[in-house]
Amino acid sequence: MLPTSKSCILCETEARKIYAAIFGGEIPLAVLNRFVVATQRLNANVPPAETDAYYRALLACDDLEALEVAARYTRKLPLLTRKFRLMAYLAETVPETQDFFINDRSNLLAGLWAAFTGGLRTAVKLPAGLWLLRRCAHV
Amino acid sequence: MSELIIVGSGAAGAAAALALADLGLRPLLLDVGHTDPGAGPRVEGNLYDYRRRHDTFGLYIGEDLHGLSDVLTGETGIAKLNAPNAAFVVQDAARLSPVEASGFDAIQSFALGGLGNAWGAGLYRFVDADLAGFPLRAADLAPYFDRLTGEVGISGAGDDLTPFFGATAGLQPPLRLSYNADRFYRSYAHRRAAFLAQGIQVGRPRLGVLSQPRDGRPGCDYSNTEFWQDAPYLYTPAVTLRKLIAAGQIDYRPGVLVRSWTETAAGVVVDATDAATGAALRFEGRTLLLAAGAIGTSKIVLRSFRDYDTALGLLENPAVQIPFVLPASIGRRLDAQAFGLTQLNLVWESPDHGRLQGSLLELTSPMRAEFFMRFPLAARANLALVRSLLPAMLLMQLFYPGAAQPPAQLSLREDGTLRIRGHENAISVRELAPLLGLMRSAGLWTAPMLIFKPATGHAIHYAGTLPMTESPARYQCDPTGKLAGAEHVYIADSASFTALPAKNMSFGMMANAMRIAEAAARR
Ligand SMILES: Cc1cc2nc3c(=O)[nH]c(=O)nc-3n(C[C@H](O)[C@H](O)[C@H](O)COP(=O)(O)OP(=O)(O)OC[C@H]3O[C@@H](n4cnc5c(N)ncnc54)[C@H](O)[C@@H]3O)c2cc1C
Repeated sequence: MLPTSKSCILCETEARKIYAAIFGGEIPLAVLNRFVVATQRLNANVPPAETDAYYRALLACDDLEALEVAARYTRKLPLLTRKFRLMAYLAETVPETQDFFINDRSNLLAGLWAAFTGGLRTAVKLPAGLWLLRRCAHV
Repeated sequence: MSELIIVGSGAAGAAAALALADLGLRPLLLDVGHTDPGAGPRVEGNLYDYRRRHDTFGLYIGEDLHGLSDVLTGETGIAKLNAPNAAFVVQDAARLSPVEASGFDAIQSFALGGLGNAWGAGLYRFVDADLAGFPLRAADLAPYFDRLTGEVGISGAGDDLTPFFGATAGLQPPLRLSYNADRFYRSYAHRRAAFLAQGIQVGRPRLGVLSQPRDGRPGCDYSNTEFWQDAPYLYTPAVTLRKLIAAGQIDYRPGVLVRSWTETAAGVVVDATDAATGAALRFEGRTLLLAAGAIGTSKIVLRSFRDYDTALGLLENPAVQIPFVLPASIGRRLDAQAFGLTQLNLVWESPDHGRLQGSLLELTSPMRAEFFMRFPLAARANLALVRSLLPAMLLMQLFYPGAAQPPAQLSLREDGTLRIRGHENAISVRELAPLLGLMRSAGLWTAPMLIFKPATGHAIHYAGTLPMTESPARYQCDPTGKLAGAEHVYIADSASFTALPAKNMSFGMMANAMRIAEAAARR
């Protein structure tokens, strides 16, 4: 179950799913390759039972964003949030993703709208994630 | 035999060396002395222009994944020390000085220039109130502060904080404020009376950051790069060290790990090892000045006395980090032309802990991903907040005096491992209510759930293990820094502090190191 090799297939699936959950779309190749290396380093620091539970949930659940926010609020599957953070760090290093991180034009309404819709999105994702935690993550 | 031996090249060691060089003396400086290999990429121009055109993996993370240390280990470290260019600052520390700690995260450096290579260069004079309990007064340090102001190049201004930060002579004009800091500062000016009534004052920081070119160094270029590369406009102790080495004013010996000293009739014999090979080394001198950082110095002292029982009290400033949002700036474009560190300071005469000092920091230099999971929403919503809310935020790092919590206990085991028993950060967020209320009235909003309490040890202001007193007992120093029970040994760093005010303490420590070095030389 645990990914071990450098070109770990499961890690590639993991990278694609997490990238899509945070950013949507296809993961840039440089980010994919770096994630595969870094995720194995991270796994090596985590007890096997935790990585097993994490990978089982990752493969079984489709809506990782919902699963992650619920896991964060219930302090379950802490590895999932760490992997999300890992992806954010790696994704930020490539020029293609800059618009996700940097706002170049001032627009108060757009800012308020982002905060408002972000709240709504969370209100929808959180209960969905709580359900997923029980149904496909079994925690 | 050398007349004077200094151990350590951090802020204290560099200042002590400067004082001795000023007297025309040429000390021997023993140091482990790791340096930046300088192999990392360098940003030319603005960080955000650079990011759009370049892959920044080397700059932000590094092939060895040093920049991911926190995520990979699951711990919360010091963001600035996780930058690849800062890896040398803490390189090898766990091997050279193992620590077994609880309730305290001890950060040690074995670099040329020490921890100051990564500091924010907030350099504040001590005033009399900061020296309460010390056997000296601000006037005793004044000439050294003046000398250091000339050496470092400090920007700042005379304002409401002058009574707390001391004389303004020799300061360069303050740095340009970021958009958000400027907004808040104007708002403070309008509501000043209300702030003063609550014992809160705001003003410009004193920074070892040039606002104008000086001595061949450029002024700040507002490129947000402070986290990611050494900035020629930001002073570090290595600047002074390198100057003294180049001028032949000190005999600098890197690669030396000092273990202990023994006293002889003529002076001291210093026992050390080659930091790389472990081979034994020995140096003789008349007087020894210890400036290995409060923790490193304490270790050398305990080992020299072969004392594996005594626990020394180690002071540290407890701190809280308060993220503020300026609602009026939400959705605003990122202020990409900013200085990425301290913008303003705040001093609060708090009812519970006396004088507290806060630094309001701009958040433009760290990676945006650093904040991604600090917001409480779902991932995509958090990402949207990173884009639209982060440019509307400032972070306040609020320091409490060392006396706000009991000192940690530092002792040495026979195998050379340090033991530090500290206390979890117990600062009560509720006590901040009057401050937060006023800040809100001036346009800075926060929520108690967003306030973060850093681990004890993360202010990185360690002090007080060998305090100065008028009549020193064992493990204390006299007012000239001479260690009780030793004839030829002086404590030049903050180990000799009697107390720890709620202030970035390095400048006070540097002035005191100069004073002690002079006293040792005169003896
Ligand atoms: C991110 C960050 C930001 C900071 N910001 C500020 C700020 O804005 N303002 C402020 O006042 N302070 C700040 N600080 C704290 C400040 O950097 C330290 O308090 C200060 O640099 C300590 O200096 P020091 O000389 O006592 O010791 P260190 O910097 O720890 O230097 C110790 C020196 O001793 C040498 N050494 C140690 N043990 C041995 C041994 N056994 N043998 C030989 N050599 C030895 C090391 O090689 C090193 O050169 C900051 C620190 C960090 C990490």
